[in-house]
Amino acid sequence: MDLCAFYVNGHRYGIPVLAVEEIVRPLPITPVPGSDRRLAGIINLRGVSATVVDLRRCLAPQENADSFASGHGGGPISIADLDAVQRIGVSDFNCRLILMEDHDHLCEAAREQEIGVFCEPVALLVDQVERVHRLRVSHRHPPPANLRHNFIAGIYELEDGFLSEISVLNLIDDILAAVRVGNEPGV
Amino acid sequence: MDDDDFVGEFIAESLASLAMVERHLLRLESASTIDAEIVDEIFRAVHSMKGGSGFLGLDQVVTLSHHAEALMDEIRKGVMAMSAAVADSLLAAVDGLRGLLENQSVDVEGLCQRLSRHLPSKKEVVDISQAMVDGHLLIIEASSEQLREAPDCKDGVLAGLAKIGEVISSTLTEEEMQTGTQHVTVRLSSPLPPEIVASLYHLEPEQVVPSTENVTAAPASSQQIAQPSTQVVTAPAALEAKEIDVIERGAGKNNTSANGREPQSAVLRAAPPSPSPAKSASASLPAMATPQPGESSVRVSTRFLDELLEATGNMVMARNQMLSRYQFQDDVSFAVLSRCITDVHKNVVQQRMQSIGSLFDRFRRPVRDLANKLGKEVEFQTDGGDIELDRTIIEAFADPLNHMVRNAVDHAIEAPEERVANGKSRVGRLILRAYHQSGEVIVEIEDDGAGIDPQRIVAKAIEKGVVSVERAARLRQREMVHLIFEPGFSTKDQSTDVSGRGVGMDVVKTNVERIGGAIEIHTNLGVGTIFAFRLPLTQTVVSSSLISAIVIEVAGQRFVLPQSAVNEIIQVDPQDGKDRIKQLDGEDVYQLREKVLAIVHLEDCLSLQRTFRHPVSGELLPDRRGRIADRRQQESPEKAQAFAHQRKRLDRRRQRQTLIVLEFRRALFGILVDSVVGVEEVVVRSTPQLLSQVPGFCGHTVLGDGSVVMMLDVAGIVAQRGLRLQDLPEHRVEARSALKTAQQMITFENAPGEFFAIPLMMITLIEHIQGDDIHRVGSREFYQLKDQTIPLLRLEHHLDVGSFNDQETYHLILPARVPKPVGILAGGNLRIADFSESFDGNNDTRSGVVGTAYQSGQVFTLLDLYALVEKAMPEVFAGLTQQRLNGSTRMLLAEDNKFFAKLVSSYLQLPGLELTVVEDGQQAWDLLHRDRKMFDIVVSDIEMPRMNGFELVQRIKSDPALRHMPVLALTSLADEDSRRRGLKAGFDEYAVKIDKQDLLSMVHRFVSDIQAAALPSVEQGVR
Repeated sequence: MDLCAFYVNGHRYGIPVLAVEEIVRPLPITPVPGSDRRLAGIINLRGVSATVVDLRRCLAPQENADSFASGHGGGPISIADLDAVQRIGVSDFNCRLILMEDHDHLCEAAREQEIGVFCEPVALLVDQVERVHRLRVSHRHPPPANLRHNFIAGIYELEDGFLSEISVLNLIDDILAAVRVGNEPGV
Repeated sequence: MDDDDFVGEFIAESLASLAMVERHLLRLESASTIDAEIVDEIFRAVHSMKGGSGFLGLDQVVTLSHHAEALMDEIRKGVMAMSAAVADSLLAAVDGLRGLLENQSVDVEGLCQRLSRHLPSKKEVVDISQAMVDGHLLIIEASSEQLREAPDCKDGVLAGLAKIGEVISSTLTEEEMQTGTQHVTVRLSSPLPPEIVASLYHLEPEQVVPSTENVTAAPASSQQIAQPSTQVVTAPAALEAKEIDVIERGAGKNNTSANGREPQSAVLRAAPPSPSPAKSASASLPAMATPQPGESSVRVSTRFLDELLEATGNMVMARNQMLSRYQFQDDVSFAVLSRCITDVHKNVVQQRMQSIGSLFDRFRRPVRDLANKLGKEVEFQTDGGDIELDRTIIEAFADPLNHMVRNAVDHAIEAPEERVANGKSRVGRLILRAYHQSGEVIVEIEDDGAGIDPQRIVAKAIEKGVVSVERAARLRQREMVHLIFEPGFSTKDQSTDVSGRGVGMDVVKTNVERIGGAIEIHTNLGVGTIFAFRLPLTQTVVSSSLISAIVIEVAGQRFVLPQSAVNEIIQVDPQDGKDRIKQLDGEDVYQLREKVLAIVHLEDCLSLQRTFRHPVSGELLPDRRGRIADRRQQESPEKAQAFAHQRKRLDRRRQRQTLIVLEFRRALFGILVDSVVGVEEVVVRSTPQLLSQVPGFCGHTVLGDGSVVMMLDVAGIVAQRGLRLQDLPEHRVEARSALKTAQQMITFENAPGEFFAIPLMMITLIEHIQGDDIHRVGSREFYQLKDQTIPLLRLEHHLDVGSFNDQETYHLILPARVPKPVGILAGGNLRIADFSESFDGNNDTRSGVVGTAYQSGQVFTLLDLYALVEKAMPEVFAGLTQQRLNGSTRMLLAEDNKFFAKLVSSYLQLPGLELTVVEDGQQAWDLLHRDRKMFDIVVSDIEMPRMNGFELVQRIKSDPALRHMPVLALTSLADEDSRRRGLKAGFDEYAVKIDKQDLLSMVHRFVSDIQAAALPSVEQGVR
């Protein structure tokens, strides 16, 4: 299995290359006020609208987690956030958007390998893209029990450290679940 | 095309034409005279169906449609009238055919017998299927000479042929066959085999061949053949040729076995065209013109359409981006490209849209059947059927509407006797109506039935345990009526098969809410009920369609609002002393004219930090004064309260802000934003699933500069801020019917026994005043009303009427829509009365008087306030009425209300203007249609019987010879929405009936345009 590796918050993660449509330099992202904090907003890439999942927030260390774990509408976007929005794509040179394939456009090989993708366009915002690693699925370790994020599909041990494979579908399900809870009447 | 495809096409096509047939039948039944065109259309539809099904071997469909066709033929020929019984049988046949096409079992024989029963007894329907079993269906190809010389044909060819069988069709008439040598094709049903027939007529064996068609043709009774001129190329022949043509094209590709038919079809096509325009020709030729399956329509999947729509939406957006980036004005090829893109997009969107009229029409039949079954008389009307909505919305709407319509006929509309006893017309009325209003589409079901009794509802609700006695006691009338939407509520104890099968109004409500709509009820006991479904525009337009949007900026971020929801945009300057933002109960409100509007800070709504731009550096900084105390994060109540308090105070540091007044369900509220960036035509995309739960948005779009912006959802803002907007008044039903049938008038008495009346809508204010407060200056009288000095006018000074004695108190009447305030002194007995239209406007030519009316034993003089004011104080209308029209202009005025007709024509008594008044759109159209050069300008009311203003203008604007004639709308409603709707329908301008000034200036403007346009052509004519 070929995994596209990238860095988020200093750690290395990966997703199946077959699930990646393209990797682009950051574009202006339109934030959607009131949305889940893990969603950076919407981009328009050649006539296609994609929701941007900010992996840096998804994979934030434990101590910062509470600020967004409560789900959507965790408070007003701060000015710092506004700056961050404006900063993306201008100064943060290594930042990349990984545009995922959507379900309808997934290639046959990916389907055979049961690579799961979302039904509509989603882009992942990462700190830096590394390279593609060819790895054996049989070498994949189950995620250690103390890992907080349930969207880590497994761990690979490489010469220069670990690579955690992310299940994007699980991540999105997670966000969707949080959004629905956040929207129940009375909450 | 393989067979399955063909069958599928046929079924789809036939179902559509059955729907059409049903509609037409219902129309025929209710119409007083038979519209030959409609009959023809029904006939053709049934006929093509018969042909098609015969071709495909659907025998039962053939038999049934054949019988229906035979009956229609009699009606078409005027032999039979369209009675209710006939219509019933035909409708039953339509149902049967539909059932057959949908693969249900149908009692074809029974239906056929039923149809045959209506036929005149001597005419037996030739059962073609039977003929197929009993004998041979033969085609004779010969020259007329050959046939003429045949031994059996001494007394006429057709008569001769009739001896050995039944002539189904012949390409030539008897007369034509008696002379010359033309080729003729005769189809014959005969017990004799082809060889024998050939030898009988001395023909070559190949000239008589068995027909491969399963079935054909109108019955050719001997009577028909005896009338020479009626028998020409019969419809089936033409039809068959057409169809085989289609098949052949398919055969060219995959070489199916069409060989057997080929010689025949070739001959048929080679047959000379029908020489005489006889009756049956009129049936056959249009039949050829009707689209045949597979030829002029292609069915595509909705998914494909959606993808196409998205792609074209992107094209439009990309085009817009290019437009904003480069200068393309002079580039012709780009202009062409741009227009093509717009056209393509429009057309694709159109494919997803459907007019709601198609949904409305579906109920015509159930209403009729249901009413018959229940012994009620119901007139079914529709209005606004041309409004187009997304197909999926229309479909989602079908069930709730069906339920409501059935309910209305079953429960609301009373039995005829009961209606008569209650002083209503025997025939109940059920109206389905759709219209646009403030960014929403409203679909209404109005009945003039019994209305809903809130007390009965409450009693039932308590009985059913839907509501507790305690709670019921606290309910307001409105809330009581709304109990019908509670689950488990159904007013009739016995559920019938008509309505009330346990699924009640609660299901209707949920269904409507699922598509983003809401229901309102306006009911008036004994008068009627209106159920109004409101659907937000964003739900009803297709995703990826183009809408006009206002781009706003708040907290450094841009958003768009659908322009249809925006009522007004106001610049608000907090520094300004006139600042009308006020605090009320801790909330910001804005005083807009006489209304007090709730203000919503958009930042609060969207959980954005309020910001302000630093006056010097221009930086965007957080607005700490307006710090949001997020209610979910209150640390200490005191602190939060302090914050909240602070927040409510308007920040004076802010520079100018913009208040956008939004209209939501006919109520207004304002949102405060930092600025309005502009207006753009945008293509709406739906919100991605991950973000769809975020409140306050209904989609997103890409602006011309390529940036993505979210589209604000007005309903979402209202819900999110918990705004309780004032509902519309309860008496709407009453008001509306008053508008239609009667005129509300203020009546008063001056000299004893002398009564006057003024339409309520011509009055702004009535004050009770003391005689002592009237100031006299010379011969003139004034009254001080607040800070205005109002000159007074006494009727007896200007009209030949008695004066009233000096009184202690008077009434002061201020007319509406006069440029300067004027008061009219009125005596006592002030009342509001509903006047029917029975007033006499002809025998009174006094200026200032419209006519007289007789009501409840008294004679009233109807006043024209404007003429009166003009007469008494010419300076009020100075400059307006003296404007002369140059030359001569011929105007057509269509107005059904006699009062207004008189009033408006009195306004239009201008030199050089020749006025013709008609009572409704139909009359207007008849005149216009008769001579397209008879009039220069049309002024039309909207609400009129027979043909309303919208329909009239649409007809005028679609007639090439009339298209350029200005058509002005007249209305009693002054609101922006009606105006927009009027302009959309094609009216050139829109004026309020009673606003003389407005009307006159409008007429002047258009008349001078006409004259300007007419001048050169006159000169040319002279040369």
